[in-house]
Amino acid sequence: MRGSSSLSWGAAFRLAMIGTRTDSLRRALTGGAAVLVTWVLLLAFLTAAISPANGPYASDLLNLDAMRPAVIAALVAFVSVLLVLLAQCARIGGPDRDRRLAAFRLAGASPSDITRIVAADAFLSSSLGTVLGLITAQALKAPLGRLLSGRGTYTTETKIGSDSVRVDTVTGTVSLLPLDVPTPAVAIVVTAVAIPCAVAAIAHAAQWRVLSGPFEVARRSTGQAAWRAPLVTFVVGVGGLMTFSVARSILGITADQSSGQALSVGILALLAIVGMLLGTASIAQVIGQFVARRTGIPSLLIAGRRLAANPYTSSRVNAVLLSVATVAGFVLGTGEYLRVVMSVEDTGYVEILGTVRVALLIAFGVAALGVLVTCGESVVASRKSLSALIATGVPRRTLRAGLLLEAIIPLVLMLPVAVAAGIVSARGVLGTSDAKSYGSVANETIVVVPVPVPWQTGLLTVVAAWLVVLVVAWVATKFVDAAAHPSELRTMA
Amino acid sequence: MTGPLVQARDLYMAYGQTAALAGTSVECAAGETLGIVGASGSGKSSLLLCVAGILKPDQGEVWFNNRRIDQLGERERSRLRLTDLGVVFQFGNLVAELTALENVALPLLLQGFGKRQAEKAAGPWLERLGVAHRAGSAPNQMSGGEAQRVALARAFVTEPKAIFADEPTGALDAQTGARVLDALLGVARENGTAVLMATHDLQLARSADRVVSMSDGALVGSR
Repeated sequence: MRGSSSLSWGAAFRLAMIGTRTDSLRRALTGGAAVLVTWVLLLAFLTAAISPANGPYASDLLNLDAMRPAVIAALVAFVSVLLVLLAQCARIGGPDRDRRLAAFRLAGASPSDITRIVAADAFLSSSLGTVLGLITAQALKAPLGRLLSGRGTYTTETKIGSDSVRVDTVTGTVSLLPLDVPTPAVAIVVTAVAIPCAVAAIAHAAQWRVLSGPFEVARRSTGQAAWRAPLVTFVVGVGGLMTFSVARSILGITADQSSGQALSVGILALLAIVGMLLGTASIAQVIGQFVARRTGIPSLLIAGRRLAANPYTSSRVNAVLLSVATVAGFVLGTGEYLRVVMSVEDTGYVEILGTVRVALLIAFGVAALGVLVTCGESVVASRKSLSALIATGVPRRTLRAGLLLEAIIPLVLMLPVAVAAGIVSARGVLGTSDAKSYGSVANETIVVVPVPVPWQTGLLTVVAAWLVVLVVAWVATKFVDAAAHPSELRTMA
Repeated sequence: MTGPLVQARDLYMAYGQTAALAGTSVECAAGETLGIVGASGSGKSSLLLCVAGILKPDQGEVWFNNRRIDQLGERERSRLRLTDLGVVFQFGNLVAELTALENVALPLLLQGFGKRQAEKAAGPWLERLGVAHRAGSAPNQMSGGEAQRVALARAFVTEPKAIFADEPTGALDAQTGARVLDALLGVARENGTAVLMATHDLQLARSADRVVSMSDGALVGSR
């Protein structure tokens, strides 16, 4: 009997639903992360849909029309951070699933059928999470809106004439979030479709370099040189941002052309971040090879060789963290700039930067969660080989130290690079000095005030991020005790 | 008075409701080769893992070199396996990211030897087992037989008193398996190392000095 040459999506969905408890855990965590993504994406849509009839809100970031695009951009950036976490959750239980996929291959499935099953698995889990997120968001919106309302001050803008605006500070009932805005139907449809499709696309892309054979499903990476081109992309992106304000003044571009400038900055920032993330693989490989050739410390040798053999694992683990660190660097640079440019009375920027810092802290938390998921997954994935090594006398502490070092080593270099890239980008885009005028019109003195480089806060950010990763990776290595047990040796075959 | 090198007395062990060992006793003298045979699920691997100090029996005693080891803590048993015992599994279980030379040198590095010294000692073992040409290769670049020979070199490099081998040729074809077994027993006899080998292959077990048979967690015969 003959059918069509490839697996139908219906069959792919049915095969994707087979599994063990680990698969159920993967689906639950993927679904949970999808709920978070749904909530944040809906919040972005609600922010975009704010009209004069809505509000007022506790933060001027939501009250002022000019500030809302920045809030939406930040929420969308946060969605992308959460999507990476979602993709990391979607890989949990990989080895068990890989054995099952190999059995499918043995039964006649093609490599593209396997990719389709993996994508279907991710699509189903994230669909369930998205639907749950939409239902809970709608159900909780009104009560949460009431809960998050209270007395406070807010700013109003009233147009006077054609080119003047009067700004007043008013006291009244304010809401923390725009939960009074009716959810647009298009937001529900886009969210319901976009999140599962994005996750399925990421899962599909993650099958890149994966060899699906009848006997095993393995990542094709060992011994291959990591792609060096991203480093060029990184240099172009950061270099472009560093010289942005200089280029703008040389080319005589005025600040009025803000949309074109914003697009240029966005593209350069994207190049820098993508370059840095993919470049992390090259850096991890070079450091790994360097360390492994020279060390006689077993844990460092194992960490070095693992980094050299699987460089892309490092960039996958640290992707979100490095992105957040870059944004944090940009925020630090922007903070210093605003401190110089804004007048003493204008304290609005302090509130805005405070909100951004809270958002960054949450993003760091999500990134740390991603590192925990990926490191823990790595331990569980290699539990049989770890058990065998323990059986041959390799101390658990050596294996734990190896895993810890593997997580930390690339970040020793890349975290400072990420934060520095953010700071120099902010200085490049916004400028490194401000001209201030003093005295009367007749006797005006212009003083050029340099924008200081935030060395201390930058260093503090790097050290804090290192410590967070150290703690998270240490927690993940505790999985060695739970996952690598001699009883695993009985089921080695 | 010196007793047998390895001795297990009345071992009982269960996985949940399933009994793996039911009052099993076995011993092996220094330099002796002992084959433990039995069908899948007969308890031979559990016995081997217990006497190697990898698993702890629920009841009974395990002695190694006149020292009771079943009561030792995880760290001490781990140290013992590193210095005095060698363990070989069906699939070699080498560290995938390390080269063959590094895999063999690893137990010496763990004992505190320097990199150069450890690799200098590891090299001759690769040569002795016929895989010196694979010194710089990662395990996935080797054949199953080569990887298993590297695993043997890793087990022998610390010059242990006993080697515990669980189905050491189970993943290899008959011809390669026979060559790996010859290498294992040949080196063990030259060094006076005791070998305890669990296998379901009676043909392979015949190479041992003595063979015990297991069924349902108990010894049912010996030769």
